[in-house]
Amino acid sequence: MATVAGPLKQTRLGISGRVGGWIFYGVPLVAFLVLILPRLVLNPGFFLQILVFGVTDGAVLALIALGYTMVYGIIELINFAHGDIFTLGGFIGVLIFSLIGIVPGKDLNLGFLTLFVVIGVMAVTMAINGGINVLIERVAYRPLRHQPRLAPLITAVGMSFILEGLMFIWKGPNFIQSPDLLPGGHFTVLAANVDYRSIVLIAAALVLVVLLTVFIERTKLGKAMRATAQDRDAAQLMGIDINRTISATFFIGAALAAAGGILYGFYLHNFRFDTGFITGLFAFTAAVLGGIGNIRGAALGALLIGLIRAFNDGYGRSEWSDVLIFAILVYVLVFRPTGLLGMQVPEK
Amino acid sequence: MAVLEVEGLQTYYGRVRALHGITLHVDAGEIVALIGSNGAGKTTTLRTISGLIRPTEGTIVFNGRSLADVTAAARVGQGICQSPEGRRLFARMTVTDNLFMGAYARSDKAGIQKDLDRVYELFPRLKERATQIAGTLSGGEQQMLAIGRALMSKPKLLMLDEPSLGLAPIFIQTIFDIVLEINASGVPVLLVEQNANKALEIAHRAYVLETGNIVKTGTGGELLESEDIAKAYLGM
Amino acid sequence: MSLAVAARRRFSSVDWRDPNTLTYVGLGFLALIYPTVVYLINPDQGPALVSQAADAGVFVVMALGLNVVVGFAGLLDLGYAAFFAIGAYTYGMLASGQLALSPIGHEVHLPFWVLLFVAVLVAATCGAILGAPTLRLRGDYLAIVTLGFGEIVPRVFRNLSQFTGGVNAISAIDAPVLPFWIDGPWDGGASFAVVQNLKFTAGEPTAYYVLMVLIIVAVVVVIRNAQRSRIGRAWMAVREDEVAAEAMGVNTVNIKLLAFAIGASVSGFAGCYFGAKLSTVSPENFTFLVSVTILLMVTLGGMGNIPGAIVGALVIYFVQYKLLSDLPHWVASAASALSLSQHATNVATDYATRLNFVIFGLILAVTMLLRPQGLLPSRVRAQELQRGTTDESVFDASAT
Repeated sequence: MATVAGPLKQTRLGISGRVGGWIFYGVPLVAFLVLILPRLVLNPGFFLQILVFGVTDGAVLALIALGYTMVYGIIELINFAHGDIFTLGGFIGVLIFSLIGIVPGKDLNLGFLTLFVVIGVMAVTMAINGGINVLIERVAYRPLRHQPRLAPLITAVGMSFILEGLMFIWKGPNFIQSPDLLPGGHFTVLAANVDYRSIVLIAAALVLVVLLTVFIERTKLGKAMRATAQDRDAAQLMGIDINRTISATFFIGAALAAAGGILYGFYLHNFRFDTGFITGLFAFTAAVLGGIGNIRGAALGALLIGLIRAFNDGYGRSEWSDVLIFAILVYVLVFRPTGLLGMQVPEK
Repeated sequence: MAVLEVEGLQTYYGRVRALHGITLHVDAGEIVALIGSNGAGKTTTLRTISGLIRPTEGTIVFNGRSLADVTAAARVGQGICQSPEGRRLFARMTVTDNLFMGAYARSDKAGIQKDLDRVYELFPRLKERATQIAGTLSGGEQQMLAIGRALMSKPKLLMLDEPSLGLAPIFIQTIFDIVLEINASGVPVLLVEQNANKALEIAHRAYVLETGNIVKTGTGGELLESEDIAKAYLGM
Repeated sequence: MSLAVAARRRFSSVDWRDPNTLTYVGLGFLALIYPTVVYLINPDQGPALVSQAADAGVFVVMALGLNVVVGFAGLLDLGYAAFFAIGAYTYGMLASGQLALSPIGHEVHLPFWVLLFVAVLVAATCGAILGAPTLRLRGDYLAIVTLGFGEIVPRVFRNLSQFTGGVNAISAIDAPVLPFWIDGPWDGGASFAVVQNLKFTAGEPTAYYVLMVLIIVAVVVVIRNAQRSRIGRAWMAVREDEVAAEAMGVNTVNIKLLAFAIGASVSGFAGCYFGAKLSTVSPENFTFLVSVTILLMVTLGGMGNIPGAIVGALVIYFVQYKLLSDLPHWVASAASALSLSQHATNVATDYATRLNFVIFGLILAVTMLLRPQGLLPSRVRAQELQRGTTDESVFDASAT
C-alpha cells in the first residue's frame, strides 16, 4: 500500500468506534442527499459544470497535499512552510517562463512544441524548488530533530514567514500574473462546457500522482522512505541513510508543490506572496481527510475538498467556503482522526 | 583473530554517562554474550557499536578498520548487523518486504534470493506467512522475522538484542538453536541477554556488565560455575 | 498570624539573585514612573507615548496568556488572535450602536467593567468548545486546528455583516467610565486635581495606561499562582511526558483544556480592552500576523517564564511598531543624505516597508535553533536544554 506513514500514534479517538463511523459517513451522506441531489436532478448540466471545477481545483490541491502527507509521514512534522513552498514554485515558474520569453498576454503560438516547453520548465522549476526545500530541511529542521516537538513546529512557522517575506520583498504586495499555456476550447456535455484546459490539468496531476505512487512502491528509495517512516532506528540498521531519505522526501514534496504552483498559475492566472497560506491550509485539510501519511488518501482528500468547495461556491455562498473547509478539518479530527484511508493496522 | 575490537567505549545520554569505558572483542566464529541486569548498558553497547549512538570516547575497530567516521547505515554495508531490542519490525510491511528491507544495502540479486531461501529454510513459519503484515504476527514469529531480517544483510557480525524477551519457552529454545546454527555457518554473534543462563550455555565467552562497566569476563562455562554470577544473574 | 508577619516572611523569602525577581522589580518601577517621566521629558509627544505603552500592554497581556498555553502546557496555539477578536467583538457589539442595525434592532450599551468579564467568559467558552475535541489528539493537530480557527473567526465576523458591520467595522464604541480620577504630572497636568466621572477617551491615555498596568498585574498574579499550584505541576508533567503524566493520574485532556481556556480568556480580556481603547474593531485587526507576533514574543522571551513573556512582548512590540515602522523614514532620509535619485529613494523606501515578515520569521527560526530557552529562560527549561535529559540521546548520530 502506498502509505508512507504511521499516522497518529498515541491518538485517542474523540468519538470512535461504530458510532463515530456512522456519524463520519452519515452526515456527509445526508448533506449530499438533501443539499446536492435535488439540484443534480433539476439541473444536471450545472451540476456537471461544478463537478469539473471541483475536480480541477482538487487536482491542484492534491499536488500540495502530497507534500504535507509525505513530510508528516516521515518525520511527523506539520510543515507549515509547505504552502509557501507551493507559492514559491509558482513564482519560480513564472520567472523561468519570462526568462525564455513567455510572459502573460503574449501569444507565441508554439503549437505542439508548447507541451515540451511546459514539461521542460516544469522539470527545472521542480528541481529548483525541491533543492530549496532540501536546504530548508537541512538548515532549519534537521538540527531540531531530537528537540521537543514544539521546536521544529515553531521553526516551521518561522520558515513560512521567511519564505512569504522573501516573496513579499521580491514581488511586493500585488498579484503577479502567470502565463497560461493550457489549450483553449471546450466541448459540451449535458449543456455543461468542459474546458480542455481542465482536462489537461487534471491529467497532469494524475500522471504525477501515479508516478509518485509507483516510485514509493517500487523503487529502493521509495521503500527506504516507507521504512524510515515506520521506524527510523530500524531503517538505519537496514543500511538506510535516513538523512538522505528525509532529504529526498522534502525534495519530492516541494517538486510536486512546484508543479502545483505552475498549474495553479496556468489555471487561475495570478497569485501573490501569501496565496500559499490559505491554499496550504486547505491542502493540509485534504491530507488529514484522506488519512495523513497516506499518498492515495491525500489525493482522494484533495479531490473531495475541491468538490466540496466547488459545490459551496456553486450552490451556496462562496464567502463561507473557507469556514466550511475548516469545519471539515475539525469534523474529521473529532470523528475519525485517521481519515478515510488511514491505517487500521496495529503499530509495532 | 578479532573481528570486532572495542576499546574504552564511553557513551553519554545528556550528562548521564551510560558506558564508563567498555573494552571487549569478538573473534571469528565466536558467540560472545553480554549479560547484566537492567540498565547495565548492554543495549547501549550494541547501539553504540551499530552507530545509532555516537560514543564520546573510545574506538570501535571492525575487521581492522576504525568505525569512527562511519554512519550507522554504512556500517550495515560493512557487515555489522543488529537485530534490535523490541524487534522493531516494519509493522505495516509484509513479512517478505521486511526481509527484503534487510537486504537493502545489497545489490546482488542472486545472492539475496539465495539468502531469502535460506531464511525460509531456517524459519519455515515465516515462509507460511510470507504475505502477512508483520504487525499481525505473534511475538515469536516477529522475533524470527527480526533475526531473519538481520541475516538478509549478509552479516559479518550478527548482534542480537534480547532475542528471547517475552517469548514462550518453546520459542526460546528454537531461537537459541537457530543462533547456534547461524554461528555454525561461520557468523560471529554478539548476544545480549537477560536470560543469562541460556546465553552462557551457548556462548564461547561472555562479559558481565554492571552500571556501564565490564566487571567480569570468561568463557561461558567458567561464568556459569562462578558463584557470584550465579547469585546475581542466574537466580540461584 | 498577622498579615504583617506573613508579608515580611514572604518578602524575606524573595530570592534577590533570581533574574526573575530583578525583572519584576525593574518592570514594576519602570511602569510606575513611565507616564510622569514621559510627560516631563517630552510633553508634546507625551500622550502618544503613554498611549503606545498602553497598546504595548495589550500585547504583554496576550503574551502572558499564550505563555500558559505554549510555555506551560506545551501546546502550540497558532490562532490566538481569534480569541482576541472574540473579546474585542464582544465589547464592540454590546457597547455600541451596532446592534441597532442588526435584526435585533436595539442598541446595547453595557458597561465596560461588566463586559470585561463577559468577554473573558465568551472567549473561554469558545476556547473550550474548540479545544475539547482537538486536545484529545496529538499536540501538533492543535496547531493546525487553531491555525484554521484563527483564519476563520475574522472571516465569520466579516461575513456576518448584519451583526458586525462586516468590512466596515464597528466604530464609535463606548469608552469606559470611572466615578473619579486624579489628574497629576502623570497625566500632563501641572497640578493635582480630582476629576469626577472620567470618561476614558482617546485624550486620556494615562487612564488607559493605568488600567492596563492593573490588568497586567492581575493577570500575572493569577497565572503565577496557577503555575505554582498543583495545576502548574500538572501542566509541566503533560508538557514533558504526557503518557507518564497520565499514569500519575493527571487527567491530561482536562488539564490541557484548562491551559487552553485560560489562554483564550486572557486573550479575550485583552481584546475587550483593545476594542474599548481603539473605539473600533474591524476584521483586519486580527490576522494571522497577530497570532504569530504573540508567539514570537513568547518564544523570544523564554517559553514558560512569565517575566520572559513580558520582556519578549515589549521587545517585539518595540521592533514592530517603532523600529520597523520608522525604518522607511530612516531609509528615506539616509537616501536623501546620500543624494540618491528620487527613483532609487522610492525603491529603497519601498523595500524597507517589506521587511517585517522576513525579520519575524528569522527571529522565530533563529531563536529556536540557537537559543531555544529564549532571552529570560525559565529555570527548568534552561537546565533541560543545558544538561539534556536522560531519555533523549543528545548525541544521537542520526542528527548530524
